Amino acid sequence: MPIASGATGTVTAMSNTHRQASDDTSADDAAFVARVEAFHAEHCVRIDDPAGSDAGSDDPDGLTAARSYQGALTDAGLAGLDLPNEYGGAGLTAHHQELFTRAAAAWHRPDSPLSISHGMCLPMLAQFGTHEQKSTHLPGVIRGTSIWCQMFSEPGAGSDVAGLSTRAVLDGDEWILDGQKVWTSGAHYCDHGLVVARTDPTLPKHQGLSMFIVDLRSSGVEIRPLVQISGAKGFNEVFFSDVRVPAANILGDVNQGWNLAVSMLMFERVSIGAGGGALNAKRHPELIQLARDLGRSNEPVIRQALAALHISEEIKGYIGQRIRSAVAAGRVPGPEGSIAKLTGALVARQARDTAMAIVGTAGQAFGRRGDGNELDQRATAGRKWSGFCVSAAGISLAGGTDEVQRNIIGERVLGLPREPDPFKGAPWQDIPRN
Amino acid sequence: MDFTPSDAQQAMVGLADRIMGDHLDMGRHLAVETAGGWFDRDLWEDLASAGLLGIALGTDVGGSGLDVVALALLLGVQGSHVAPLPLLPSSVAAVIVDQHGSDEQRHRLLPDVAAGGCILTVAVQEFLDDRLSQPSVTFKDGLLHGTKVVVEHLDAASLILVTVRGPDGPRCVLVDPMAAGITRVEGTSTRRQPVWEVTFEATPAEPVGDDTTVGDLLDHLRLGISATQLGVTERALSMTAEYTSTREQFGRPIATFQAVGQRLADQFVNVGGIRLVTLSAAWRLANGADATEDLLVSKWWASERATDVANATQHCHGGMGVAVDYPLHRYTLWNKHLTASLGAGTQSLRALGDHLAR
Ligand SMILES: Cc1cc2nc3c(=O)[nH]c(=O)nc-3n(C[C@H](O)[C@H](O)[C@H](O)COP(=O)(O)OP(=O)(O)OC[C@H]3O[C@@H](n4cnc5c(N)ncnc54)[C@H](O)[C@@H]3O)c2cc1C
Repeated sequence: MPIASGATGTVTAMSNTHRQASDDTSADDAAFVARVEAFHAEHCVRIDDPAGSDAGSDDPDGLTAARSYQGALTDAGLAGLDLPNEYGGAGLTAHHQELFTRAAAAWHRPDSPLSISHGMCLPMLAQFGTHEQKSTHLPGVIRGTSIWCQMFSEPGAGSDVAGLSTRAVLDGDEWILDGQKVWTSGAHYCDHGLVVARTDPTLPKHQGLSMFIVDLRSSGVEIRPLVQISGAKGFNEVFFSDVRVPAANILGDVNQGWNLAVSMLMFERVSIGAGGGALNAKRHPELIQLARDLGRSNEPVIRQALAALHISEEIKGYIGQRIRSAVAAGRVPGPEGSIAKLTGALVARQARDTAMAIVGTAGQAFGRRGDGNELDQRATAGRKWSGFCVSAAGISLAGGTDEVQRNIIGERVLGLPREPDPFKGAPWQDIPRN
Repeated sequence: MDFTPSDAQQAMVGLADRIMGDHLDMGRHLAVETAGGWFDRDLWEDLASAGLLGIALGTDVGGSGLDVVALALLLGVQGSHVAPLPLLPSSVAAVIVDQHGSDEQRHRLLPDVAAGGCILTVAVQEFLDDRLSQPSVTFKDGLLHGTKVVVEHLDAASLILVTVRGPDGPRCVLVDPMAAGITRVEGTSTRRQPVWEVTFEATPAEPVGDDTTVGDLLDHLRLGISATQLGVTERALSMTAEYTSTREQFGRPIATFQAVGQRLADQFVNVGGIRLVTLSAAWRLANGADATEDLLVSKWWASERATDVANATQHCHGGMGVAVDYPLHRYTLWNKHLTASLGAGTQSLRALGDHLAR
């Protein structure tokens, strides 16, 4: 099977970078890591402390906690690490970001409501924004006083996101936006969205798109929360009717939106599969403890499942580290993002199944009223892992489904022939859609 | 063994399917969910009027005299409509009273169960002990002590059938939920159903049956769970086949992507397996053959494969499978609830291992 030569080169380059990064134990690094640890010791609970938990983005308290954590982090000079001071960053390097990610992984950080804003929108703004856009927006995004979301998916365009139909028409010095987005995580508490819209329907579908910075408080924007199967109000439907967007709010150039979208999807995949947040915390240590607490750690079936999960999480950890090292060395991640994201989704499912086997009957319970007896521990564990169990499926969908990642790995890493597209090159407006 | 439903069974399934299908649309589901209680009482009354609440009970106590195969098929219909009803615990408890109770108990309780006025529930699960056949709740001098968990429909039930440890070993007893010495803590199950932790302190109880009753109750519950999961998975799969045949991406139905079509074909094989092991177990139970092995196989297969079906059907719906505005989520949540009922798949596997390698 021919392996695309570019991909092989990539692997080698990345493992070298990784070695350099992990061997680098300079005094400066140590001092920086000590600062990160001191900050978290003051503001957070350790991951292995059963008292701690990461409040969901759904919860208003969770949002407040995220904002105050991020504010304190910014005051301490530990936010926006690799961004220049003039944009509200700490003026350090991507290498510091990697040191931060590793050191901070030991703590429950209440920042999951900011994960899209920081993991995906912020790097887009930093990479593609004009000086004006960066000066206006970056300081607030870094500090968490302005939270952003990703607005790609539409009812008719999920996996085929390039087929989307939200329209943007230029009218003088404003764009007029009409259409509908769906599954928009966090829109209900966000200030701005990065919206992909069709600016030229006569071009082939990938060529007529542009990306806009849209103020979600503009008139004509309507946000309707959708309830998820886990019970969380995590994502939304968003309707645009005659929303006026200043021409200066285009990110990148007109009709260059697909390139930007691809970059943002890469940031998303790296963030889901290799980011430093709760989503990528190793789950087997907690599950081993749970098996002990519930008296099940001697069961061979459970022990084997835990060992298998440990193996998968180690490998997933290395994949993530390799990608982050590449980023720290200044490389923009390519299809490796798909590898990380797919692995992350598969390992989350493995953790889910292992957790369900351990909690057993308690996994039926979702919530419990009343308090104060020895059964609480089981009930609480059951509830926590039940919640994880029903939301784990979302990880296989958001950011491009497992199948979409596999298609990318097949075509762009293995160099397999692409699936024939009968509409290739056809103007978007001539492609039939339902 | 012949798994072709008899005419009587087919007529019963058709009737139940029509009643539930006519009654339960999206609006009705939402109304019942909003009202709380997870119990569609109007539908229950319709089923009672149609004579469907006593199908597996003796004709002398107001039942239809069909066997547990018929009951399994009826539970399948409930599963396919994800109908919020106490059908499983009530029907299984009634079958146990019918088969193990005294004549006095049968005539006192069962006519009212068949008529829909008396609802029974079961309390068999315990948090700290997954050995279901060796309960830790004690029964001595007519009084109960201990705690049961995940008791469903406690608010609607007239009596609870509880598994206990008596002086001579495991037994079943009937308890009035209003009796002295009961404390209850309400929680919610994965399928948003209220479930209770029930603690007994010197609670009076009435014994039913003998040393074979606990085993028989567990057998029938396992059957009921697998049978319900059969209906749930079958319908979830047909919904997904329909959805993926009409949902288009990249200018074509997503079912034409082989990753989708083949995954669904695998689920068809899984559901077919659930059907066969469940009906085989039901047939053995109905014919007085030893069904323990079949039931453990069916509980394990239904748990594991139903989880696969739930995952695949949800995933192939994309975002629709995660949103509660679309009906598929109920099937996903029911599957998870049922899979964890009487312990997850690993517990059945362990029990089956004990049974085979003993
Ligand atoms: C929890 C969650 C959060 C989300 N947050 C956001 C967000 O913040 N912003 C945003 O823009 N979007 C968001 N999404 C949307 C997400 O990106 C889409 O759900 C996803 O891309 C799939 O699109 P779809 O739901 O339309 O499913 P479809 O595209 O209709 O897919 C349905 C099924 O068909 C399969 N399929 C489709 N095409 C192919 C193919 N070519 N080959 C093989 N199989 C295929 C898919 O894998 C899937 O199983 C979120 C989704 C979830 C579940």
